[in-house]
Amino acid sequence: MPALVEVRDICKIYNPGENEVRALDHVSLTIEEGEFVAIIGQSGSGKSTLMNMLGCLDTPTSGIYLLHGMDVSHMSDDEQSDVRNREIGFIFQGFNLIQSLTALENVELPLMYRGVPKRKRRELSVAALEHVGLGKRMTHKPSELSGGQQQRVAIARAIAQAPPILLADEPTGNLDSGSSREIIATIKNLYAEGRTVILITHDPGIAAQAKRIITISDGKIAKDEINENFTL
Amino acid sequence: MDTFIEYLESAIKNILGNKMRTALTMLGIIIGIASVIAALTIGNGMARYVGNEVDAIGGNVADIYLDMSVADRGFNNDDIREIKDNFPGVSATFYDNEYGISSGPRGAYDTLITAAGSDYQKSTLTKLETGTYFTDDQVDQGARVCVMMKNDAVRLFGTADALGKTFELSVGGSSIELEVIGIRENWSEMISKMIDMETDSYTAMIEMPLTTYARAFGKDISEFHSVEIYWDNTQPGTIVKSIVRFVENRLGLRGQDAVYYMSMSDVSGQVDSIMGAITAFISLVAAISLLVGGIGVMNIMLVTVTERTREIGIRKSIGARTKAILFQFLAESAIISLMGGIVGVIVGIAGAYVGCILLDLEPVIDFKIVIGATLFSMMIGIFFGIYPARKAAKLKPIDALARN
Repeated sequence: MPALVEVRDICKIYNPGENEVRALDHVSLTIEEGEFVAIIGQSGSGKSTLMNMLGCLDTPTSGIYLLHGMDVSHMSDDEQSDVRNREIGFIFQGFNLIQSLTALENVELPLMYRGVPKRKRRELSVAALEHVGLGKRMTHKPSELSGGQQQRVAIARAIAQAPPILLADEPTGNLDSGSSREIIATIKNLYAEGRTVILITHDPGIAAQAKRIITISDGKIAKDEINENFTL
Repeated sequence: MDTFIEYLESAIKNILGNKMRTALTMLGIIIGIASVIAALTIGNGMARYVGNEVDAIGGNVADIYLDMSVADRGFNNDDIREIKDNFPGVSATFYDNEYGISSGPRGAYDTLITAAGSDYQKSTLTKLETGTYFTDDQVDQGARVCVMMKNDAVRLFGTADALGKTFELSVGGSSIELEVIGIRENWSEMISKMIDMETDSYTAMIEMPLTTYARAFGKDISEFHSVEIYWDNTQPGTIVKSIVRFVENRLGLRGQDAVYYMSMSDVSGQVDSIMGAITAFISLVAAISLLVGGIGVMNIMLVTVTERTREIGIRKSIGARTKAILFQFLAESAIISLMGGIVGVIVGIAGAYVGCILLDLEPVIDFKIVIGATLFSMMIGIFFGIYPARKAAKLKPIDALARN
């Protein structure tokens, strides 16, 4: 049984040549199903590049990325779109909701691209929104919701299609401390329900909430350790 | 199919979310389509009007001419008899025109005299409203009778009810008293104006037997260098050419290009092609404005793509394929253009009606043009939408998300 995520010797080099920037420098790592991993690093450490690789939003200069043992690092745009749609639920720092759509429509969107029939899609989306405690805010536009609520819509969108991986990129970066705690609690709950969570952050306090902490620095993995203090 | 409809719904939603911009974008298409429709409709109306007028002047009529510098003799009565004998369904007559003065109880007027045989009644002037045309017998006898226009009767006698009334017609020093036996309907306004323009003043028109005319005014009617022929609808339009060949043979003029003809149906064809050219030119100008409208759509769609780069990034990051984005933007530009096209058709038809009323024309709405223009507007939307939509669809999600 192949690992859920296996990154082998990945490099990402910008401006190859004299002024080249090695955003990722021979990174290898494996994440098993059901793990709760935080990837922590300073800005410029390469963590965002790694997150883009793991999220199939970018392709590596060299090395391979196996998802369920399948090489997804050298796919066409449309194939990568399909992988993102099926395998990954994104939670972004800036929420990335479509402003002209309601909360429910935002949650439905990935299901629509997957071709889920309308009724089934609605069912799944309503369930996801209720799961994050927004059952009463479904017809609101993002602009009518608080930051914490918007992020919960984004989480609902990420989990509605039940993807194997939840990829959270600085999910609390735009939130006040109260909302941050709520969002982290929600993410922990999702882990407790058996989902694989990868959390990218620069904040050691947030990273300390995860069960495994990978520290990245200068495009390399500096530390990869189990968090002994992890509690649910 | 389900997703197709949903994409359309989502496109309409986006369009409605930006009403002012959509309206301004549509304006270009509206003006373009409306001017094409109005130009073609008014053009068709004009062509039909002119066509009707020309047909009213002469349908199955032609004049055959002899080039007298080549021919040994002119046409005579034997020639006419031979033409009639050899071409059933065809009749022919000589006619002569002369200017004279008609004097009736209500005044004297310049008069265009047409002196002809009884077959001249087939010359498609206006319809005989009351009375009869002069007969072959009256022509043979040189009866002092005539047919005139209703207007002219009113001028001469103060009443249109002039049958049986007499007046004096003089040409040069001679004059003759004529009895009115038939009254024609008036010319249409356009033709009356044309006639008055040519003659500089009010000119009455009468028709009288050729023999009467010759005797009264001392004219030679033994030979003519032209003959007017008429054919009924059972005969093909090419009959004129057959008669021309027959005449060439009879007068020994074969291959000398000395016999030619002029027919109103030819003129009508020429008028049609001129009107067609004018309509085509106006439509071309209108089509250019449509092109400008299309470029407007492209412009706005490009702005929209730039503005919504982040949205495109979000959509792609959660799994939208290139085609889904492409379709979304194409649908938006197609719908904007189609809506503009539909409004343009309505405005164009309304404009054409107003234009036709002002020009006193009958509006001729061609539904082929209406449907064509509507479909064409949608095609413009798709054509000018392709570039912006491709630009949107090709965005890399990571780049699109990075932009704020």
